[in-house]
Amino acid sequence: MTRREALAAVASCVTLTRCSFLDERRALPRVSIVRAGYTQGLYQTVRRLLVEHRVNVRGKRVVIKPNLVEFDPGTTINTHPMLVHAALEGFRALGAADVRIAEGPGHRRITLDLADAAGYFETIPHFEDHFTDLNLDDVSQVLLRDPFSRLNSLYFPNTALAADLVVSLPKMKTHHWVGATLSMKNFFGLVPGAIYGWPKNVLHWAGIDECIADLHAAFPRHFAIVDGVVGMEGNGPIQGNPKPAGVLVAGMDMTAVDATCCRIMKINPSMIRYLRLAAGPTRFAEENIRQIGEPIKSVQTPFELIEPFQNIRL
Amino acid sequence: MAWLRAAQRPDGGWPPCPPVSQSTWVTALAALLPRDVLGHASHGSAIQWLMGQTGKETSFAYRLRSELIGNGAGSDEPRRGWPFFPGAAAWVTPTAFAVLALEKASRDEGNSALQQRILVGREFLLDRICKDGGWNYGRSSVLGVDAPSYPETTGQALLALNQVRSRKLDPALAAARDQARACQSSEGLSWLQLGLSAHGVVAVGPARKLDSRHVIDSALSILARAALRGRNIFLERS
Repeated sequence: MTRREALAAVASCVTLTRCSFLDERRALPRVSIVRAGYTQGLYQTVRRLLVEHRVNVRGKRVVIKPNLVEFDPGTTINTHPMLVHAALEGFRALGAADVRIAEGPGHRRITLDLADAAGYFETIPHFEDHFTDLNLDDVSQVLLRDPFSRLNSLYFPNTALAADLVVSLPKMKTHHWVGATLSMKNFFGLVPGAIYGWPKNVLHWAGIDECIADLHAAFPRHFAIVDGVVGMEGNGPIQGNPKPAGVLVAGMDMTAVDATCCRIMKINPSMIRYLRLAAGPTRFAEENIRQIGEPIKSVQTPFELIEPFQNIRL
Repeated sequence: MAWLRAAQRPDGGWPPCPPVSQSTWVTALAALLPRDVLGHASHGSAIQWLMGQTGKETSFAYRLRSELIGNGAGSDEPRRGWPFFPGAAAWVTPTAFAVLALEKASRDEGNSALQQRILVGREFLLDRICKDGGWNYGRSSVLGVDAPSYPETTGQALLALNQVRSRKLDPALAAARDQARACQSSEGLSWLQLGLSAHGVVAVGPARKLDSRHVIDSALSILARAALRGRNIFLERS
């Protein structure tokens, strides 16, 4: 355990001790697991999730950040466009002043063509009017407070910085460098390609896990809905195989959401380094998360893991 | 031009936009401008900045570490490409633009150091060809699985490999022609047309017209159409 991990552990213990003096049930992060499919019912399901979590966006600026990476018709790399549309409609219905879909893909520079190929134009009316390419957005420098990585600062897109709520809408996937890519890793797409390149290789050299934890800290006003209806297993995040899990997983605490997703995928969340960095070893323990909806066991399905990650199996 | 010259940093490079206090890969784009237009001093310092850049994976410290953990490439001279951002690894797009900028400068100067660096940059590109014949961002396989190429990067690499004679280019040209026929992106097709025209090949696009998404697309398609008519601006003398 590194010094930072130890500090995070102590901090989380202190937090939990303090919480026990308050309303313990209310203090525990809540994570919803709901069965879902890519049907019209998805719109109602997403709306129910937002109400369930009392997401207050009336008059606020919301940025929805899907996972739009590459397009291959034979597999399921990207967040399904219907879920993105359902989130857009859901936040509008809750009275948000402005809802934008925004993404900065890590490999492909031609974001709108990628979105078109992935079905976003077809599914989301006037998609282009609602979309910001974060790779090309105006940027501001942000100093990272007590960073986990070697970076002291990062340039971030002004659209993301101005948001009152950044909504991570990732695909539930295995990942060949960090084990699993979920709501926290999805924030890599907030880093602008025009500054750092395609791929955003600066983050790799600074430590992928550490940068995931830094990005999580840099955007604290967040909410997550993970697209696990059909995820990806094996050599993710691009070259894996489709894996139906039939669920959406949602919550305000992204470490708790990602830990729950890991358990659904039969991955041990305590073996995911960025989760340990961001939350310490106990905060995302199963007993410290208030699960809502389907019990984990009822939807649990093992995602195939490549050889170097066999040891993270739950 | 005055704005561009004013934005140049003391180290000779350019930042991608005003708030960024770091010279990056966009320096190669500025250095593609004619020397007389940009200004000789500005152009010269930009070329010097480019000559000083290389991917972090070719640094002595990184290579030594790789050797010590058994991942080294032995005594092979590293194929030094260019990174997007200083301190990161080299990739196809910044390498292609740096090669084009240095090539343009070397046409006027006949500088052997420039020519040597162009050669090494082109070796980097030839080394990164995907199994399907084209180029993607710069990793032809991931954990032993072949990665597919992209139209835009294939076109850029072919453009930078103009005048190169190599058997490796035969499948690359074939792949680029196939990509052009199936291309769904205006920007992708423009890069393929520019790249193929550098090898004397006229790219045939898809049957349907590809609309430009924004001003970058439109500008690039104008340059690509000029290349189809015989004027490839990337390959003109400075």
